[in-house]
Amino acid sequence: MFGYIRPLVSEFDNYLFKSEYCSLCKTLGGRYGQLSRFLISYDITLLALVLSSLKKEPFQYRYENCLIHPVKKRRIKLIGEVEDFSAEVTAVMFRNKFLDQIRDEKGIQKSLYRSVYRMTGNWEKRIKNKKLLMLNKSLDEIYLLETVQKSSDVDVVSNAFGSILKRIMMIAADSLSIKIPVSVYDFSFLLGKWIYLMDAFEDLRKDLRKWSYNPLILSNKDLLLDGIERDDLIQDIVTNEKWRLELLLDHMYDCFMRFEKYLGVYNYEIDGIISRAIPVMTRRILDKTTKTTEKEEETDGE
Amino acid sequence: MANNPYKVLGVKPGATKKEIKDAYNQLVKKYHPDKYKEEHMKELAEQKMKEINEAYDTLINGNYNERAAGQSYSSSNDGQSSGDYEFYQQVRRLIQAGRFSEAQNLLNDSKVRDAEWYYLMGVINVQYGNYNEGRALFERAMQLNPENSEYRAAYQQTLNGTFFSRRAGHARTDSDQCCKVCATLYCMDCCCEMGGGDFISCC
Repeated sequence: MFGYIRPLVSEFDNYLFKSEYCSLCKTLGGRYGQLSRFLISYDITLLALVLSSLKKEPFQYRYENCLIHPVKKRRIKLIGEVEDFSAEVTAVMFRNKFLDQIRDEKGIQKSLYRSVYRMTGNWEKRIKNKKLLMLNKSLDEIYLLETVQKSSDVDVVSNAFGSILKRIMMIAADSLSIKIPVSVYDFSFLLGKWIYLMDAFEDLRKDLRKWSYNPLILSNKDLLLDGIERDDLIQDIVTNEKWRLELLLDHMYDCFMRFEKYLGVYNYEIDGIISRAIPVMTRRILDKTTKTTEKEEETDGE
Repeated sequence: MANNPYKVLGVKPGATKKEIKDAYNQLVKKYHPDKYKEEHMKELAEQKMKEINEAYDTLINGNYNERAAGQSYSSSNDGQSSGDYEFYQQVRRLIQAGRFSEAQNLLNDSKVRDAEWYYLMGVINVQYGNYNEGRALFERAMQLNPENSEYRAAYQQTLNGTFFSRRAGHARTDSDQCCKVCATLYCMDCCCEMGGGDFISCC
């Protein structure tokens, strides 16, 4: 579900973001084993970056090598409370993702995910912040919303995921004793909503083919019942739902404007991600959804 | 609220019972679950039928019209009773201050459902991320009071994704002339203070 935020290439002199990313990657490796480093996502990095900036600690770093970049030393932010917390968030979220996959997939993939889930069984014991485990319950609620209720309300389902990100920030405020402005909570809620929607758009074609749950399909059931051809159908769904994304981007930027003053040195980079990278990614995902043809997708191997 | 029964049945507000019945019969024929072969399409069609039935019941039993009729007295002329005006000003202040849940509680407790009520409820819903609901509420406010430019602007802005930036930019509509004047005075005061003078002595 994660991984939709990508800093723009031209802006990859984003050294704060980069060093936060490396630091989070190292924390994951140290705590949950080398393989867990593949789970690192830009989205959680963004949350970590916002938390670091609100914590108002001076930016401290050192140069280190790592497995993926063995030659050139990289600037790595010193690991602190924020990175520990973000690593735990990553662990909890991915444990749940594996669980979802076990429920959804069939055959080999199902058993593959099951073994991964078992392998990572000890992660939860290692999580110091027990409040984070409460997220499991909220994530289960979304699962029910998707499978039992089969909600056709795009806002309800995406807001439920947004609430989880908001919840994470609330736990962070509590356990790291950071003062978090209301607009940051609102923003994390919207970021979650955005991530959910991006996921729904990206999976639209696959879900139509496999007939899996996707709120975008159910909320546009008229089009489906009218028997429109699949490519046109996807185009129509995207056209129907575009306003929601535009409004969401506007909403996110508005929230950011209200908390940018608290971000200090991090302001410039976070601004770059929110006001430029996120809109670009939105457009890219929509283009991908409408333009990928059936054949290309088959060879993608999903 | 998200499903406007008129929209579901594809008839104009104020349609006669016969028109509603005709539209209903046509839709039932069109979306009958037996028309679809695959199981999942049948399921979808059943959902659709449920919506159609609900919309039909609401319109035929007059539940929707009744509510609309009850509010037209205050929406047809802008001269709301002074009690209502005070009440809505209070709700607007709460919204402005970002205290949405308090504003929502006030609105829920109110018995009147007029255009302003739907509009303000729409603002709160959009703020909460319930964009569809908000859009439907704005549409309802617009239907009840088509002349109000604020409602129309809000509806348009949700559609073209400028709702929040417009508001943050204080792009207020005519109904808030008073606020504009206050804001201008306040700005003038701030500028004057920087220049050494003082326009409003108390702040």
